[in-house]
Amino acid sequence: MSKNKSKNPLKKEDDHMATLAKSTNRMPFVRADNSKKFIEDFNKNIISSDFLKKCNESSKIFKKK
Amino acid sequence: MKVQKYLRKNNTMMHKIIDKFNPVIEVLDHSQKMCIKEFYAGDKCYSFNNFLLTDAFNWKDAGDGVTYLVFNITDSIKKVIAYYTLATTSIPFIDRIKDDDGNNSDQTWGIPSVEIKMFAVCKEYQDLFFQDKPIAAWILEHVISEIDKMSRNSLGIKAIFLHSTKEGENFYLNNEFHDIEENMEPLHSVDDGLREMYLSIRPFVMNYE
Repeated sequence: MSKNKSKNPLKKEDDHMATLAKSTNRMPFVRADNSKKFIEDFNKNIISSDFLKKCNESSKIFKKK
Repeated sequence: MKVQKYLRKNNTMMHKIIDKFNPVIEVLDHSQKMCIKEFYAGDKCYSFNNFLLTDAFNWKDAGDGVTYLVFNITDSIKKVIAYYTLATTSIPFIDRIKDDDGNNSDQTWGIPSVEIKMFAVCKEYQDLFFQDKPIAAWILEHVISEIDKMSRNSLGIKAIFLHSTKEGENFYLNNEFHDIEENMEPLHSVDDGLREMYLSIRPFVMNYE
């Protein structure tokens, strides 16, 4: 392991990423009053092509068995 | 600005970089039992530490989720450094439409999605960077890429959904996930500290017939 330190300026809150997602029996649903806005937001928030490209690049180092 | 400078300096002091990262993904099976016994995410992560030993196998057999182990292989040493569990799901929503008589009618719809049901990184790798980003970010980007490929080749998927832990929230927000809590109503009102988040990967178009 290198003793070099990262120069990536992450926020403090990004530390300690141990457990990142957890299953729960709670499944939410979008209320009728909010569904139109939710769908608008959903379509507006589609993954950016730059980020998807980055994901595809990163994925190349993972070998699958 | 002072706070940002402080955090930047603090983080450069805190994180270490590994020179070698040779990740291999394997679907969980019984032949890996010796490796998974050693997985340790931390003292306060009891359920995550034990998930691989029993629940992960039960989930796989029951069709509740498939767990993928992330190994790092360096100098002939193979170590489980993280795992994630995927399952299909649907983000339900209610659409209010007017019928021919002008009456409101609520209909339930669903957005086909994949849920990241579990995601944990072992303690040793939690603050480690490879090149310019943390190991957890490398893994998440791989998962997103794989789900995107699935949605193109094998399964209709429009979003990635998850329940983020408190410590994971900023991580996901920084990776283009969005909070949906304000629009949603839980079927079970439980204050478990988890936060529903999604990343849309395909547009959703309503098709009224």
